[in-house]
Amino acid sequence: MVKYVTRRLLQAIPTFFGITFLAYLLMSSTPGGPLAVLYFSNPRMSNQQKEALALRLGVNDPFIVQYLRWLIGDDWMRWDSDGDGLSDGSILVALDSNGDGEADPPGERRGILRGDFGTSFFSNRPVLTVISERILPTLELGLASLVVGLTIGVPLGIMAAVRKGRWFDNGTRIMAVVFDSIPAFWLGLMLLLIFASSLGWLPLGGRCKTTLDDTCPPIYERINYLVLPVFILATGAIAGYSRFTRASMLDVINQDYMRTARSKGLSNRQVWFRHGARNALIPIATFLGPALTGLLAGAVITETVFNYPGLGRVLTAAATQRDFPVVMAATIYASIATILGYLLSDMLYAVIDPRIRFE
Amino acid sequence: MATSSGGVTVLSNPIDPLEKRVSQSLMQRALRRFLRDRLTLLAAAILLVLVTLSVFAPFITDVVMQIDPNDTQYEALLPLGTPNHLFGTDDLGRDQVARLLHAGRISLGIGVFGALATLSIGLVIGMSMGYFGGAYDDFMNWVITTLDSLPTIYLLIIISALFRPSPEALVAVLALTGWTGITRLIRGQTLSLREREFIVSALSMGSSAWRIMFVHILPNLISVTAISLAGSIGGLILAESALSFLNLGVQPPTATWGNMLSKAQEFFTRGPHMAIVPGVLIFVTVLCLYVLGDGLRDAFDPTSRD
Repeated sequence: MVKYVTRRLLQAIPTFFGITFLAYLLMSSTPGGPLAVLYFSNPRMSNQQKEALALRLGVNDPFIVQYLRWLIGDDWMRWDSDGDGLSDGSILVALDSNGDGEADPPGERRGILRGDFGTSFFSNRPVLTVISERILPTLELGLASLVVGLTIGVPLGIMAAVRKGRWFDNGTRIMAVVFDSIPAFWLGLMLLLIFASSLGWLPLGGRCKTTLDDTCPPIYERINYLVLPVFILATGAIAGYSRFTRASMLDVINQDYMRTARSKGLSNRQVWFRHGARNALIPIATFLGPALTGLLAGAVITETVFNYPGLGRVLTAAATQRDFPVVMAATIYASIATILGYLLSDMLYAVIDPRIRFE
Repeated sequence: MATSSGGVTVLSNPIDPLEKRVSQSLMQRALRRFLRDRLTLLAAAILLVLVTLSVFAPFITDVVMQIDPNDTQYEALLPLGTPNHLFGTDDLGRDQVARLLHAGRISLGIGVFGALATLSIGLVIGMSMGYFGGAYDDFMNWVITTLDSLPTIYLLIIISALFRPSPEALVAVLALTGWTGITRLIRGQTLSLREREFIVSALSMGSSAWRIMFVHILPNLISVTAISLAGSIGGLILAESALSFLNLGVQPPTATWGNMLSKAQEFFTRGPHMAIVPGVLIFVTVLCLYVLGDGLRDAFDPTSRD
């Protein structure tokens, strides 16, 4: 087991570097790059300030040097050993890159691998704070919709399988395809229109009533804020889980042990749930990886429709504003979540199914 | 059962010699099953109507209705059923019927061309990965794993927010972010097909690798690709509408079903009709595409009986 996990983690390393490279490539190939955003956000910047900024960001360095600076920092590229504020040694980059006859100040960045994600271009707060304060709301929403999705989707799938071809089966199939083809954001809009705007039963969005210190009361006091977003997210989950469970249960239903269970006189319910469902649920573990990713990475569209302060909405807001440090950090976070999600679901699969052995 | 590169030929049933069966190709059987499936036919008919309306949208709005979809008027937010404006007008007084027709062109177009582009990438890369294998296969597997390690919606949002793509560029973006799934599928199919006798015989006659892929393997992938195409179009229409709803997809004044909804939330109380009709059209289109995809799967499934 330890060997297997180690191997999988080692395999994830090239994938992770691929992601960082892709993300950096995307960011630096936007028209103007990060510098254009910073110039735009402060139109009164003097030419001297602009030059200093360009120097600090190192935008004139070759692409691979910029990537390395972002990844592992630049405090080792240009250093200052005598403490006069000017560098006295450098590798990879020139000691005096702007050619003014004076050595540049030493590098200060530590790079994302050493936990330095920089500060947000717009709020000027550390990116790690911006991201980490959104993790809890996102987890809350994700966990609630996963639980609702599983508790409704799985039993529906089992019942559909044992009643194959009857009205219940056809009903769940129709429901699943309808849930799949409704645009989630539009269903959200419609429910807001009905239950919030017209009837006034539920709030129009957000996580709780706005408070001065931006904190929310315990979850049981603001269930009404969660009802609609959880419902929207659960529709997709129910559609997926019910169809997957149905297919999996159909594979199990004609096995010998099911016939044995029936012939020894067990009730239908016992046969279906004790003997059938337990085996049929094993493949569901493969579904939990992507579900976990959704849990951690947030529901981008739903969070935006409901103005819910989670990671997904941070991403859309930051991408629209071109707040590069935040976009990059959210991307890295989501990719780590995805990689861990797949790893965890594979491990879970092997733990609950004794027929699978690690090799 | 005799196998050929064109498909599966079913011989007459040896158990029941009295029953006369005409041998049919896979395509003929699929077509016959397809024509019997009323639900699928209904979905196909609805789609045909929507596509026709979209294709002739400029003619309908310019010649028949004589309304420009981007023409703003003083009378904004007219409700449903107003004479001359059957579906009302939006917040800028633009006729909703004209906009919906033109939006259909863009939304359906992005879905169809995006799916075709995705499929082309998937076919070329998937077939070559499955056929050649080796280091090339390993490298492409790494690329696919890497791309799959990011939620697609993240990539889509980042790319479209940073580059503000035109509808044509959006097709490319959707294809470049969404090709991994179909590529895996085609790679797997190719891996199993390349071991079959007809490939070995083609090899023994000296066919080149590309000839084997496109003349011998490709025809056997038709049913798999046809099934996935319908679902893929639906998925891309949903993706485009979500992006445009977030103001990150196709930019106004060009209308799509998605960006017609982007202002709906602001005008809930005064113009709820703005939120309803475009969404219903997306929903119906995607539903019909998924039903069509399921119908095609049943029709092509060699294990299902007539």
